[in-house]
Amino acid sequence: MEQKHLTPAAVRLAQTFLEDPTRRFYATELMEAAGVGSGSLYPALARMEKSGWIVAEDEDEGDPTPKKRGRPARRYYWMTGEGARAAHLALVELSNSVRPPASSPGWLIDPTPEGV
Amino acid sequence: MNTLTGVQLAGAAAEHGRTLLGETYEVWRVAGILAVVAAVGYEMAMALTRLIGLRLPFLVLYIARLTTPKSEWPYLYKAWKGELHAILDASKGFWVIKSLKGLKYALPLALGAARLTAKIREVRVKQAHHRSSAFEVVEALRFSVVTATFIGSGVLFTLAAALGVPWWTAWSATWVPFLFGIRLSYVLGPSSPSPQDDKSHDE
Repeated sequence: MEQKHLTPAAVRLAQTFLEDPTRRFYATELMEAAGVGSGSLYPALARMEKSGWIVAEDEDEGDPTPKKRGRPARRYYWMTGEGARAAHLALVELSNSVRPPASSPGWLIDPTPEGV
Repeated sequence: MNTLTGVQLAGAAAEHGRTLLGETYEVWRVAGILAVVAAVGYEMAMALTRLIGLRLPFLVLYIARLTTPKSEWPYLYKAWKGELHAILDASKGFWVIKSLKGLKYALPLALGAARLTAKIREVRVKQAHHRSSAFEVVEALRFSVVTATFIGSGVLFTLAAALGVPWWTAWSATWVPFLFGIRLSYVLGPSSPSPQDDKSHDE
C-alpha cells in the first residue's frame, strides 16, 4: 500500500491490527478499537485487502452460529503474516517521514509568544 | 359540617346512584375504557415507531445501492447487513440509541463510502478483466499464426507434389515449418494468467 493511502483511519486500523496480528475483528469491533467511522473504515479495509495486508471471511463458512441465532452472517478481518510485516514497515516509514528535522529548535522556543 | 356532607352525598347517591370520588360509575367506566384505549394506542404507536426506527438504518443503507456498481453490491451488502444487524440486535440499550447507532453506521456508507469502497475493489477486478482481454487477443493471434502456418504448409505440400518432389522431401518441407510455426507462436505469446488473477474474478 502506497504511503499516500495511509490515511489517519488506515494508520489507526493498522495499529489496531498490529496490536495482535492473530486476532480476528468484526468491522464494528474495528470501529470501536481504532476509533474510526464506517465511512473511513471500509475504504481503508478495501485498500488493505487489495494490498494483501488483511484477509476477509464470512463467518458462516463452516460456522452454524449465525443461522442458529437467526441473524445474517458477519464478516471478520485478520492480518496476514506478510501484511503484518508490510504494515509495520509502512508505519515505520510514515513515522520517519513525519518526524521533525533533527536541527529543529522547536523544543527550545518558549511556548509563550513574546509580548504576551 | 360532616353531617352536611353526609347529607349531600346521600342526596347525590339518591340522585345518581353510587359514586366514587364524586363521580358516578358510568363516568369511571368511560374513563377506564378510554385509559385502556390510550394505553393500547400508545403501545402500538411505540411498537410501530420502534419498528420503523430499527428498520430505518437498513433503508438508509440500501440507498448506497444507488451509487454502488451492481457487480460489487452483493459482496459488500452482505457484510454491511450483518454488521448493521449486529448493531441493532444488541440485547442491551434503548432502541432509540441503537437506531441512532445504526444510522451512524449506515449514513456514511450511503453518502459515498460505499461508492469509494466499490471503486477501490473494482480497480482490481478491472485489472483482471484487462489482463483477461489481453490474454484473449494473444490467444487469437496465436491461433492465427498456427492457421497461417497450416495453410502455408498445405500450399507447400501441394506445390511439392505438383513439381514431383520425392514424398519425404515434401513431407519435411511442409511439417517442419508447420511444427516450427506452432512452437514460434507459443514462444512469442506471453504466459497464461496466474490462478491468482482468476481468483479476483470470484470475489
